[in-house]
Amino acid sequence: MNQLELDTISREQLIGELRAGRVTLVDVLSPESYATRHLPGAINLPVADIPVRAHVVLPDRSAPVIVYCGSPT
Amino acid sequence: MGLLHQLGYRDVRHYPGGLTEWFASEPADAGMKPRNTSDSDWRSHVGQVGSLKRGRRERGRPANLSTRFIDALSERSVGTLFNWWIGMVLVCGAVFWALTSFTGATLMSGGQPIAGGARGLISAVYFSAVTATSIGYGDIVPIGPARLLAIAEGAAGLILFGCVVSKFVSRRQEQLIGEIHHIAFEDRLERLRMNLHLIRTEMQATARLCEGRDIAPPEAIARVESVAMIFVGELHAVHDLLYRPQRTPDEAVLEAILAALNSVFREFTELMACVKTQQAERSDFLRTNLKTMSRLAQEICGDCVPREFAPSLRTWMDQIQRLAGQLAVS
Repeated sequence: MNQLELDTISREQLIGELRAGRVTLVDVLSPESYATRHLPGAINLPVADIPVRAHVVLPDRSAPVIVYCGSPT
Repeated sequence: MGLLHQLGYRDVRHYPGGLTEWFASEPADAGMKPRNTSDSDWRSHVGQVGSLKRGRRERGRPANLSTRFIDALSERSVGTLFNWWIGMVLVCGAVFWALTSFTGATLMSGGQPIAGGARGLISAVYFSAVTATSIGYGDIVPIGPARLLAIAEGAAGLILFGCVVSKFVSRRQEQLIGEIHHIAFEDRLERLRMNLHLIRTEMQATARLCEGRDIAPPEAIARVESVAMIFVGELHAVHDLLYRPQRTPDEAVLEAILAALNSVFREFTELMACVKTQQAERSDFLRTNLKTMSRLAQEICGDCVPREFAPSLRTWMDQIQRLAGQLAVS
């Protein structure tokens, strides 16, 4: 996972974005993990499925997206 | 996650904290943010998501004392609660009587204090019962500190009575739900047996056609496919019945089902052998179904199911496993 080219976002910024409803939050963990717990409003898109399903769950390529996974990395 | 970038998504950001940070710092967040309605709505959603952690924390908090009190009450049986109620009436009656006897006027009847002694005891218990049922005729009234006890008794009586009533109601509901489940379960079993019978008939018919070469291979395969599909569904049902039983059917019923399953497997193996000699192509669909079938049936045997069954049932299960093994090989 190459994260160097992605801008990061802090927890407070994330809360602000979520409350404003501007972003799509994406959980890249497994469906099992997502079922156990996930951030409010997140959609599930496992890393392995990104090439196949990304265009289905995220049709707009210019819309803001925030991804997260399990623990601080 | 750079993947998304490569796919052409322009505005992708990463929240590096992930699940761990989000759920770890949740309580600190609660005090940090301004409170307004939408905020608390939003937080309640977060709370549901992190309910496992929060639930454990909240259980230790004294704020939930009343909830725990109600829970403790609702765990008792109707009989216990009723006994408590009777006990409360008697004890409070005795206390009223003791107060009357030793401190003078406590209960007044028609402007006069009630008598002491045995007659007074009966009056005191009567007053106690009238209070606890929250009837409160008012023919006997408390004065002085006894008022406090009377109010406490009335309140406690209401709560206890409420619990008793709700128990009665919910017991009836549970009975009804149980009956509905029972009917649904019986229905399912009946359908299972019927379907197994139909599958078997269909297989026999197809096998006869196949042996007599009255049927073209593609057509035979089509029929085998459809019957295999239904069979996999029913096999799933039997598998569930053995592994995750909501209820367990009678031994006789279960034996009939297993026996039917057994003969279906036998027929199926023969049918597959016949189809094979006709050199018909097996479609992917049929292959998938066959794979599922043998995987499920491999798990049906006397020693691998999680429950102990009667020896005759175990024999049937072992046979099914063996036949499934043969089917997988063929």
